[in-house]
Amino acid sequence: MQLDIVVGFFILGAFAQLVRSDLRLPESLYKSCVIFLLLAIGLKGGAALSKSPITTLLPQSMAVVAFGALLPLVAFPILRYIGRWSRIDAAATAAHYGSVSVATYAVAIALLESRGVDYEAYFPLFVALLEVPAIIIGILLAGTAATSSGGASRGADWGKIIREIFLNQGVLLLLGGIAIGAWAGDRTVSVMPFFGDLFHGVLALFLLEMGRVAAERLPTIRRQGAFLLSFGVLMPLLGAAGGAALAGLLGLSPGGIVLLAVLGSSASYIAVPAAMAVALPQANASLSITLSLAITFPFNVLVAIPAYLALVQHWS
Amino acid sequence: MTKAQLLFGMAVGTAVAALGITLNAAEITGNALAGTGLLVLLVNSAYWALERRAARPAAPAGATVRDGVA
Repeated sequence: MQLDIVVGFFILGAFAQLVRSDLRLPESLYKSCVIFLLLAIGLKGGAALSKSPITTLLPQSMAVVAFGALLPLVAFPILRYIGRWSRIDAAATAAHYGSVSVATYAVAIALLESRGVDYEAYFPLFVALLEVPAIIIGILLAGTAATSSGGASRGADWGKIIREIFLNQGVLLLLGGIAIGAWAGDRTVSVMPFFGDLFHGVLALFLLEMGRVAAERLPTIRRQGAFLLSFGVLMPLLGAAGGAALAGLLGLSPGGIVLLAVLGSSASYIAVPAAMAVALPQANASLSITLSLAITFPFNVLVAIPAYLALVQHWS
Repeated sequence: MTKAQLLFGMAVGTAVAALGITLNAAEITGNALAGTGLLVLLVNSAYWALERRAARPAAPAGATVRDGVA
């Protein structure tokens, strides 16, 4: 099991933080990397989408949305009844685990491409689709508690929540990239020297900062106890098993099985926190972001993704 | 840390370690998974032990074995 070269940058960033180096990507560069990655993934997926028949995509998309809605329902009881978390914290964190991390997805496609493994190129559509259902399920799961404490769902400013879900930077850029790619089709070739060839380099820079940010949250894990670690390792494996099983049922390629496993395995730390801050402001955001960013993301990047690929390659 | 959380952590650690070892046996590299499972087991045990030690009542100053303080 060989790690992709970009993972080395993640480890370097984490190391720099642990030894208290002053290494830090400028905020504007980090944001530029995020914009680049989202547009690059969206454009590539959109171009592939223009060549894919709707009769194939529609049932697959519906199955993926149902899968995204199911994941928080698995996470919630574990957090609520074993972790003894409050209903709102459990619901908010469950929503993070039902949604996806674009960075984890980017690492997975970098690994697949470096190994020459083919996958369904319209996968970014699934990434975008998986952002939404978990947020709604999370808000519904928190419903009772939020209402009783005068929280979001009493007034349920759904307009604001839906605006946050669909118009946050991450989803807007991803959907925008997909739309432009689908509209332009083969004409995306003209921008691909920039968005295609530089993808791995920009991902490496992005992961350098992610490694630092993940390591920065280690003290929070120490304070919160061992349950965070246990949950942060179990949930990705459950999500990956579900994703791989669904991909098998949908008849996806080996690369597609790895990618749907990765999407099930990953937890959001950009789109969902923004939506939860609006919908469930009482939720402890530090808990869910620490779990998804400092435990599940490194676990996926360092351990799980190479294992999923090795497993799928072994079986196929 | 509750007993249910300890048992949950031990079950997760054992399952992940077993998965890694099984992958190794099938000649798929599962060392990292096995290592993660062991880490989960170790961290849960350490937290449980530390919390039990912290929960033990401290002996009053000057107390001796004759006073019933071990």
